[in-house]
Amino acid sequence: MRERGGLTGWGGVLVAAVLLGLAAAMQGQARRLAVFGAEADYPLLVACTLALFETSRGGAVLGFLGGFLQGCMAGFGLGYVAFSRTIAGYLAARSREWIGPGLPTAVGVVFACTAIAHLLELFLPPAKAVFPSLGDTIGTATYNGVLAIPLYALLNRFFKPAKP
Amino acid sequence: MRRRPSRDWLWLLALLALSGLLGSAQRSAAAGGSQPWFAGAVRSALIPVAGAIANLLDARDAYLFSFVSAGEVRRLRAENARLRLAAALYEERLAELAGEVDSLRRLMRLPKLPGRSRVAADVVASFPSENRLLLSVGGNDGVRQGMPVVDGNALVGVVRDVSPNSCTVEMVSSPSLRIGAMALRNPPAAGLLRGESPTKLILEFLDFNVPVGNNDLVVTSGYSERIPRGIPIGRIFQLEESREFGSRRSQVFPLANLGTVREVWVLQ
Repeated sequence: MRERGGLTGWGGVLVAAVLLGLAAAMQGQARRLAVFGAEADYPLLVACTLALFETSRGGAVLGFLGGFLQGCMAGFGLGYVAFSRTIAGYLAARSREWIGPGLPTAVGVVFACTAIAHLLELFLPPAKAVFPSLGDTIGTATYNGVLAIPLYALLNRFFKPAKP
Repeated sequence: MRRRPSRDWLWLLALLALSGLLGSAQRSAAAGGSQPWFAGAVRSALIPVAGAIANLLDARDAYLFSFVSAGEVRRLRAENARLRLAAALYEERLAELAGEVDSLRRLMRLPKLPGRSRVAADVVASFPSENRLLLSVGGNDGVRQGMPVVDGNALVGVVRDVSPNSCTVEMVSSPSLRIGAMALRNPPAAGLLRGESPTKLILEFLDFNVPVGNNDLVVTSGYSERIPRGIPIGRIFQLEESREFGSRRSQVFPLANLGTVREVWVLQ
């Protein structure tokens, strides 16, 4: 692990690639893993949580990769998904730089960035029904926020947050 | 320290621009019934992982179900064995009749009917809010754009785009999918079916005076190059008429369980 922290070296790249790939593969089964009707957004969860250990540039790249894999698997909306996830990843990393690292930060940032990414998608084509989508967004953001607790705790054992 | 954020902004803008470019590449490939090469490569790498995750979830469901009701599992196994026997008998008879139809059509110099052979596929990913499914079969298995996809009961959707080892299905619940359909009556009431939600489809009739009623079975009309006639779609549960505008439409409840479908057939 280098002094500057973050997902440095081949180990960091490998962990990021494996986690994002697993998350993109898992997203197609999100409905079967729903809790009280709320579905998690796994690629976004992984990208935002990993972004908490990276600079804002690294966060944007992680968000973009998460969106890219998700859009390729779904077969549609690649541009919109990658666009909204890139912004979410960037904001997640920036927020950590502003607020500082920690588990409560991780939960709050993942919740907020998930909500922002889904709200951005709401205003991008194709047109969606606003109120049901808002409900889904809150459910997904809450689910992602909860899942961020074990994921952040695990990653925190191996990586240190990057210095801005 | 002051230059760093501006460089990060440049990275952000570059990635957003790249997102737009990749999105437009995907849209133009999808319009031609395929996926761009990079999406095909990602799918080839991740579909085995997605399949393994789906199998794990199946095993979890089976375990939980058997834990809850061992008696029900025994009853379902016995019923499954009975149905397998019955299906084997029907399939033989069906193949015989289909062969007869084919030879009569050959004699009359009519083209071969679509949907004669089929490919089994696993649903490796489901995107219900976008009315899409990702299947484990693709161009290498003979799947082509526009082919119908069915589960055990009814029409699930139509193949939208094809990669070598996977394909995307647009479900019947999609508002952008139009399928020729008819209510099974004498004479049959033909119309155009589109999706509205996973539990509601809309069938607009072409003829205002043709008789239809609640609970009528709606099937594909066969006025299509790839979708054969007679695949069940759903049942009518509400009729709406507007004499001033001369329109008549019905709400249809789909027979396929679109939210939980796991295995399907692609009809070739």
